[in-house]
Amino acid sequence: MTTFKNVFDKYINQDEIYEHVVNRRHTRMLLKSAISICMIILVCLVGKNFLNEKSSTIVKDAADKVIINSLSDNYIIDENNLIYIQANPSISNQNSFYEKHTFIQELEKNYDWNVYYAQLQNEDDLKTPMEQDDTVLFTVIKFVNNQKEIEVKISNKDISSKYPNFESSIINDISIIIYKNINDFNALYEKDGLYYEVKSLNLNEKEFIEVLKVILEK
Amino acid sequence: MMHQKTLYFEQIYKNTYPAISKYVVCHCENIEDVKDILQEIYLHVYKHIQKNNEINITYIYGIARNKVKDYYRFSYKNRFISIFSKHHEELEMIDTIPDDYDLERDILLKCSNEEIWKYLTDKPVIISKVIYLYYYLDLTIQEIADELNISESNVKNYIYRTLKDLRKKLEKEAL
Repeated sequence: MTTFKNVFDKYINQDEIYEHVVNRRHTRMLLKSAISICMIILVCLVGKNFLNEKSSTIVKDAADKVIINSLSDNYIIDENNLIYIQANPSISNQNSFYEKHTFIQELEKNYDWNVYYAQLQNEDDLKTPMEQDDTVLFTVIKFVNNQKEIEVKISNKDISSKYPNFESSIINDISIIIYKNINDFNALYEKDGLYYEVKSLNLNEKEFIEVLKVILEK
Repeated sequence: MMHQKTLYFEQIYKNTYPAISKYVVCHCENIEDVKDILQEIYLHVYKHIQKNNEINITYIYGIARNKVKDYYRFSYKNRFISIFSKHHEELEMIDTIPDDYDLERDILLKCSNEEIWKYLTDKPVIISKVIYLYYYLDLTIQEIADELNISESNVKNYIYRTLKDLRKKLEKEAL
């Protein structure tokens, strides 16, 4: 016979609840533990994201202070894997060139790398149109990718500026050269067969490295 | 030792179930949640006994209060409850209905458990609360009125109208 008592007995059954509590407790505990572990992992991930976010904010603020030059428009690789990079003869870019040059000198001095200079005057040597100007300077850099070596040729032998140290580093599995201008940090790296230079403006070393990490993640 | 604790829990469970289920029914927002909440409460009680060997009724009430609160803390658990209830609009004072009247028997003979449960869960929660307290826990009209903080007339009215409604429903189905 159907009575309200039977109905409630069926759907809110005292014995069933008891069985559930006593017999299924362990399953529930395991499930709860699993959920707790998931929550901990989630909290860690959120925390990590938060830190990354924080770091990204710094980087975003700093991003305006970075110039990334793809060198792919300005270089040619010859059959010997020599890379010819054109340096603009304007005063500002001459500075840029000097930086590179000094950087190469530092390479030579400190690491005994095979660096040598060559003056390239023939337009054909570059195989690209160039300004016909005696002051045009060319940098020739050879990247030996597998061995992470850099071989450099520079057109101008008379570079005497003194610049601070540079350092070779690996960020996100990419070999990168970081060197310092008078106030700013610059970097040079190769990624996916293309060569880039990153110039910082008013960034300290830590900020610059953070920016590089973001750039190299892309 | 483990077995002793389980026996102790069983004893506590049997002794406290009527009071705790009454508390949960009176404070729930939907009669369908009662089973889940009771399970949560007694799971906590069971764990407490495993750890501390004993427990008192006041502590169990404390657990019940917290579990009910926890259960409804997150809005996704709240079910929709119609605010357009005919029963509230047409409340009639049926003081003439005696406390011990039994319309139940005639009506429920023809209904299945599922039909009754569905009917109750479709109605405003106050109806199922009153029916549970009256027919399952055998509380008097006055006790129910006190527990739910409503008048005795309202309690009688809810019971009477529920039975009347059920009878109407059966008659319709019979046709």
